[in-house]
Amino acid sequence: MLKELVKTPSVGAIVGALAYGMLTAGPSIADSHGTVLVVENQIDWSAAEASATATAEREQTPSKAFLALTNSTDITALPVMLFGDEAGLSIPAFVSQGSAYAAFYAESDIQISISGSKAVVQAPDGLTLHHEPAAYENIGDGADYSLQRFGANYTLRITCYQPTEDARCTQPDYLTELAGTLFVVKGQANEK
Amino acid sequence: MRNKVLTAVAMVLLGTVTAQAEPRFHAPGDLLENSGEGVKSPVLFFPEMRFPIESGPVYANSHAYSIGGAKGPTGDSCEASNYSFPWRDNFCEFRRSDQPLCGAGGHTGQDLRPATCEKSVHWAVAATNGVIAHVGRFAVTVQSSDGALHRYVHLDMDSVAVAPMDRVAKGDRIGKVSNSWLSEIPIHLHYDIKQPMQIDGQVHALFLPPYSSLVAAYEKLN
Repeated sequence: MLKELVKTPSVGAIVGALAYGMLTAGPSIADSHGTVLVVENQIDWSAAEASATATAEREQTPSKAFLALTNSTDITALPVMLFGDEAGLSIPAFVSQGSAYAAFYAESDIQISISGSKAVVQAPDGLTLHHEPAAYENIGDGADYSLQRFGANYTLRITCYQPTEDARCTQPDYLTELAGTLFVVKGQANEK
Repeated sequence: MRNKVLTAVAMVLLGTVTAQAEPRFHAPGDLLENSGEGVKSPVLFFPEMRFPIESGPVYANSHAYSIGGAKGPTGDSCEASNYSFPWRDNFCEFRRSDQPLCGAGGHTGQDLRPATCEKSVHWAVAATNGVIAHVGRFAVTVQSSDGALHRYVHLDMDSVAVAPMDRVAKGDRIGKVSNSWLSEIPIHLHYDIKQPMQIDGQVHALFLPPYSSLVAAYEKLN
């Protein structure tokens, strides 16, 4: 609509456009770009099921708590991983979007989420890595820890009330230990 | 007399239009001098996104390196030049030093100043359909259905209109843009997006350059 205004300017239209800071010159950036391809990874359900079986007895308590959630039966097309009993965390909130899910743990002075998905962006030509990506990275108000399992991607995100002082946010140890407790609570049986 | 006034108005407008005949948006990766090395790719990583602030005008530029910022010239961060076009990319600006996609610098997203230098007035909104995956002390994260994590930082958390696990649609209100942090900082929304990417044969969860997508979304907004 704006471009039409600029093409056939009336005094009023120009004043309005100027007031809104919207006059452009030449082609816009949006005219000259491409987009990226996003693909969904294949899930190794056999490996996920084997992992779930191996931890089933040890993780009975968090498994039962999760399955008691009303939306735990929502279809999720990737293995749902949660923190194990050893993590000592409260029962998470959970929501599925089909090809992605989120679990959220609200503790007294920290918050932790698990975001799982199976979609992967394909890097466009010309984009390069300048630094080797690390599993753990500080994100200012907290930290992320990312991993791949069974063909799916999981990002653990922690935020702290004191993000520059709390070692759980400033150092990788805590998130790394939490990642070590991840177990498969829901697998292929729940995928349509 | 009336014709002379109209002519004068027309001349002023023509001059203003001429003065405006420069891009409203600096190119992707064109960071402020000596503030880092940006990613020059014009690719739209998020072509379907809705602009993450409810209404314009909005000014994209560095809160840190502009007037009144921690690394910028001394002055008031409400200075008019901070609230003017053209936009400036600040993904990869000097903050941390190990951002995988940054040659130098490491700012994970884009700083966006809302229409006026007032906190707790302007709404940040969902840029994507999705769910509220995380709510922290200063920020909210929305997970899209393809797993991208859209983060809104420096919100007025008392204004936040969503709760963890809520489903949101593009344009739904998240919270009001403010300057919430451990110390006083300029009013702005820090907006970043993280998503797994296959690059050099491996998959990594990376903060991706949002600037080109924000420009496209802003042009649709207006």
